[in-house]
Amino acid sequence: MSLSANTKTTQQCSHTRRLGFITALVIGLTALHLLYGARSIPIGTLAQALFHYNPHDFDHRVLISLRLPRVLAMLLAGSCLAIAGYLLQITLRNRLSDPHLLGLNAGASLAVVLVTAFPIAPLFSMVRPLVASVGAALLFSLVLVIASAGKKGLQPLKLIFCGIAFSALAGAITSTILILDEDTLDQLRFWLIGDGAGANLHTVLISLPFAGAGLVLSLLIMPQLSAMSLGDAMAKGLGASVQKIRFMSLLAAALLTGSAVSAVGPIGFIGLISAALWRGIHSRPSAYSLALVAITGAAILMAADMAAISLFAPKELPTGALTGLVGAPVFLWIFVRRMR
Amino acid sequence: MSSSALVALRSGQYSIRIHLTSVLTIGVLLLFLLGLIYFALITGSETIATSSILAYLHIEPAQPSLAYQYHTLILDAFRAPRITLAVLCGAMLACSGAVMQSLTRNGLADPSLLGVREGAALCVVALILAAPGVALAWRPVVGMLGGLASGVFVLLLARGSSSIRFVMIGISLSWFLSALMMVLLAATDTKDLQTVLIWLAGNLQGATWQSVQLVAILFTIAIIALLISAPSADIEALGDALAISLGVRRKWVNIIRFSVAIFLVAGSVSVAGSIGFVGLIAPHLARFLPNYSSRYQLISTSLIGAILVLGADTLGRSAFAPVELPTGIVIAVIGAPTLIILLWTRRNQL
Amino acid sequence: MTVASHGQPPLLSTLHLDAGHGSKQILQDIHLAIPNGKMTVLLGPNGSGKSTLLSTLSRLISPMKGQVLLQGNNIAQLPTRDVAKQLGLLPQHPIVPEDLTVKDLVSRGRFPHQGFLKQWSKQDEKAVNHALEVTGTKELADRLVDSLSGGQRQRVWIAMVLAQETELILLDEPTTFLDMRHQVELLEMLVDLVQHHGRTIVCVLHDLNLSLQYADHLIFLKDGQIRHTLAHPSHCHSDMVEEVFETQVLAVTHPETGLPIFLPKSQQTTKASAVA
Repeated sequence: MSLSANTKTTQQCSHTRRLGFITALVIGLTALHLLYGARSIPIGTLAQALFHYNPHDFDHRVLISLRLPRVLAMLLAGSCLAIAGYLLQITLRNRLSDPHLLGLNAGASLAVVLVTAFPIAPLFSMVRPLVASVGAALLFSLVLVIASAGKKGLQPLKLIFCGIAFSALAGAITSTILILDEDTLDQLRFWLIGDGAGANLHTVLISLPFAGAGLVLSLLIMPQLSAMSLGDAMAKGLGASVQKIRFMSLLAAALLTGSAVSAVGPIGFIGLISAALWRGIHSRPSAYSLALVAITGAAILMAADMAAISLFAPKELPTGALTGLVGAPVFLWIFVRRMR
Repeated sequence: MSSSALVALRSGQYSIRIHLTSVLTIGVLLLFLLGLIYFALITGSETIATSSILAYLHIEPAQPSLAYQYHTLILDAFRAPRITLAVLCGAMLACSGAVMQSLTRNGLADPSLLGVREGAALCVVALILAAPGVALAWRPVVGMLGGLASGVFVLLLARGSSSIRFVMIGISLSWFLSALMMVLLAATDTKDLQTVLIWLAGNLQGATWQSVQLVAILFTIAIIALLISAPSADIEALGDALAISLGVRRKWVNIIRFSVAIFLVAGSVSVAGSIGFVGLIAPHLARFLPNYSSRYQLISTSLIGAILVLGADTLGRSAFAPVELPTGIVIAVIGAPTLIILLWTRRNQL
Repeated sequence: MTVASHGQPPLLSTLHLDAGHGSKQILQDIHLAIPNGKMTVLLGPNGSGKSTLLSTLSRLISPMKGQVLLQGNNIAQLPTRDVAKQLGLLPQHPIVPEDLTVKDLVSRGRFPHQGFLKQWSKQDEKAVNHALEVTGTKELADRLVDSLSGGQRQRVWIAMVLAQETELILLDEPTTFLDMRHQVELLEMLVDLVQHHGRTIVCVLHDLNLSLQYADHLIFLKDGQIRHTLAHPSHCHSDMVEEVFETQVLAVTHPETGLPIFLPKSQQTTKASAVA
């Protein structure tokens, strides 16, 4: 009894340490991102701008109207994509899962491009995260249905191939629209390659409620997902309704991805990288591991965005390209490690 | 696939086996393709008379009229190379798709998993952006080199004969390269970007006899290698253990077939941009036909691929004339629902 | 254990073989000769290395040390097609391709004898028909392999290996997933192949008692080593079985064949007799 209590406290201790470390990292990165850039700003000005905003001060304006929205968008998108990836990984029991690889990003982009090209709803800009979420959910359902149909059932390789095929399909339709409609291309070209420069406070704010809903949903189903990580039969034995939980988890993943994509565009591999960094979080899903992954995702996207701005300054790279450059080798690394 | 339609021709120690139903199927596909080629030749901004086509093919004597000369010019400079290229590219993409599916034993595999398309595309886009003035004829060469370079990289990294490893390396390379492509595209003006996007979506507009020559040679070599290795592939379908025990030189057969797939994709991408889905759709369509073995399967698949690409291209240039839709777009629009229905119908065999 | 029966050198033998999967060694110093024209059964508990041995014998795995000899030559250095004309294998999980008829599948066994201009010789035709007849699958010839029952399917696979026309046939647990009737039918077919068609068979089996009824020659493996080699099933004793399988057994005699059968001693009865 005392032994297990003891290990529990050590575990909690290491949990707190890990969380503390990664939170400190995110705060540091955020501060750096705010202060450095084309124009460096002293740290004192940051505090002033936050608490005594002066609209006539150029530094204040840069901070509040340019850098702050971008930083907030990256924090939001990074944590959303990381949670979405983590949910997919536990639910599908496949560590190679990521919203980008399984078609959620492509579905979200296609939906947004479609609605931009044919402005069906006049209030479109208010519901862009919702549109993106619906697109993500639809394409991902298609991927899942095809990948799990048939005699052999759902297999990891089949799922990945399916995700790739349908992402390509959605991508082809997206570029068809862009080729035919230059206005939409102009409007969305930077957003489509995951460039943070377009982020503004408005897009972040409208994404927040959807992201929040996704987060609450994922926290609610965490205990059941934890039971499911022992296998479907075991989960049923423990009284979890497997189909329902799976559906809710995928719904949450779609909402989170939709909000992220709507805010910063389709950025890939955040979920893959942030969950791969921590050992053992797949075997024990909990609110703690969710928080850890989310903050890690925010840190990674923040770092990627800073690199995108500064690597070839004054020329800016798309953030999505940087996560891709890092994420693709990480994908291979996870695969090779699992093959051993 | 009744084996009663099999006929063996023997002479001394040599023997050839023919499956009549399969041959008949291929004949029908060929006739259909010829009909489509004829239709593609006569259709366009200028409708061309059958007699001019026959004269162009040296079947009928040439007429001295001005209209005839004009028609010959259109045929020789535009339609004939474009149609030939469509047929060849379709066949190449379809073949490489069939090879990928048989190597991975997975009906969802397609040539895009090789990283070759991205390699070729990246090099061509870099060329378009860095030196827009360079002659169009260089594009296929540069694309070919880029595609081959990434293919060789994947082959070297994968070493052994595990096709899953091969595909996984190909997938991550293709993501890596497309991230690099995003970096390039971000540095582009919207006007140039649309040129690049059209090229990327796949387009046969710039077909010339030079590019036809390049891919014709490639395709001939590739199809011979594939037809020779096809029986080994049939045995490999029974599993690794049986393939070894029945004497298949697995390592060599796999390396050759992967290399052929790489060459085919690099070739077709470099002349026509990345036309998608043909490699995924054509092999599945071919499996609805009564093909006895993968030799026949391969021929049917290439014919179907040729029909798909030529059909899409002809539709693209005639449906909304004078506006031309890129071939890749027509295929994507038609291919999307087709693919979903196909995969659902054949879900048990994926 | 170096002299084989029939006075001829053994078709298949090994020299101080070490082998395993990846870097994990399983077999240690395996030195054996398979007697020609007999049915040899490899037996042993789970993880004893019997399937690994069969895979090494059929060159699916290359040995870490030592050699597998096919008619006295190192199998790793022979052209793989030549080996395929002498040694056939039925693995545990072959893949059934879609839309393939029984005859087509059996025809694929002719692969090592064929070439680009030798696609279907008279011998190919003869071998396939013979294989179908011997295995009693002739009437299934035009059926799809997909549609067959487990027992039928296993016979078809054996027909495919027979069509390969090899003197040696290796089978990895061919009776798993079969019910009792089909197990017996299959083993009788294998015995028939040995006795009337001159084949040499090496077979991994799970069931000790079935093996004893049908095998000519038995090899017991444990922890990657050969523990016992028996030239006849009647040489099998309960202490051997108890040592290899680490379980208490009771030896009885089959009333018809006179061959031994081993029944596990139940823990309860052991206790009961101890009390009595």
